[in-house]
Amino acid sequence: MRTRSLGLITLALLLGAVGVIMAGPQNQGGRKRPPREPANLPGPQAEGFDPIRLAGKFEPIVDAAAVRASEVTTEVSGQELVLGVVVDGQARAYPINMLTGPSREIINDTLGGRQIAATW
Amino acid sequence: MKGKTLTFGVSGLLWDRSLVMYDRETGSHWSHIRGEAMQGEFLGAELTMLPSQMTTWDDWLAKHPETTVLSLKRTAERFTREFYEDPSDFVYGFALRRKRYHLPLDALAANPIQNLNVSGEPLVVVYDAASTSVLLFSRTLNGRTLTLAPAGAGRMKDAETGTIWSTNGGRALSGTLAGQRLSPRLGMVSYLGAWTNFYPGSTTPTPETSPSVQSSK
Repeated sequence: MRTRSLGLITLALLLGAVGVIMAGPQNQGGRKRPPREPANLPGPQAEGFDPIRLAGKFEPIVDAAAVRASEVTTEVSGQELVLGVVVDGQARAYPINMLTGPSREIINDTLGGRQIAATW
Repeated sequence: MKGKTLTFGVSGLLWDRSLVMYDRETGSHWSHIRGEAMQGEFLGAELTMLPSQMTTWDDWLAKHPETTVLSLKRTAERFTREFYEDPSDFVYGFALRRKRYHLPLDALAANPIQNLNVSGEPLVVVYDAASTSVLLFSRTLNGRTLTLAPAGAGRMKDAETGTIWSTNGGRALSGTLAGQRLSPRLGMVSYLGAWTNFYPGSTTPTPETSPSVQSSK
């Protein structure tokens, strides 16, 4: 598969835990599921890329607020997992408890002046 | 990409049981695990991965007291270390010189500091039990390669200088190299199945025997 290196990359991707992350029955191997439709995407695509469609697309999350650590009360507790990142000296935590449910698995954000996508 | 900022959403598609993203600007579809566009105008393009880590809020806040936090409504369910209840389901995966490697989390829990030599590059993978975070570092510093071993909770020590390092950030806390930092390398926690599915050639590097860990073999 060819890849190209790009000049100015203004979007960056953070990856925490990835893999089979769609919630619900599609994670369970061995159970009988109704047959899923091939996505049949148009135009050029990579060889071997044959996704199936499970649901309609979800709107991107683009304007989620971020608060100072001192403002956190019950939103995240000490032993809960977060995806942490530092960009240009600016640290931000993305609590996994907020990233659940298919619509929330990618957070488009700006941190340290950089456009990033936090996802798990 | 190409000077354009993209906005990503969940596409509702699944490829080999892995999430497919789309960008709103062109409708191209991207593999989540690879960060690569598989269809559409950006076919073949790769996103830049940034260093990040999965850890506990306690650990993150202690390391970054000035951190901000995403503020969305949370679910009632608590995502704690119980998420890794079966650590054999997870791996820490990384790339080096276009090859992929993975370390099972149960092997890391059993042997939390592993000195590796991957493609000729000396690395150390560090599992911090308290936060469940996994970090990967170069263990070459100023031209010298260090050999790390556990030194109590949250600590490791190098055999060459006796310096004590923190396991949750690779910072030297005391000793000859106090104040120095090991250089981090990119990696991520992934489901084993997804990782080996997308990177079938991925291998597990064998750790070197650390000086104060007795091999049972």
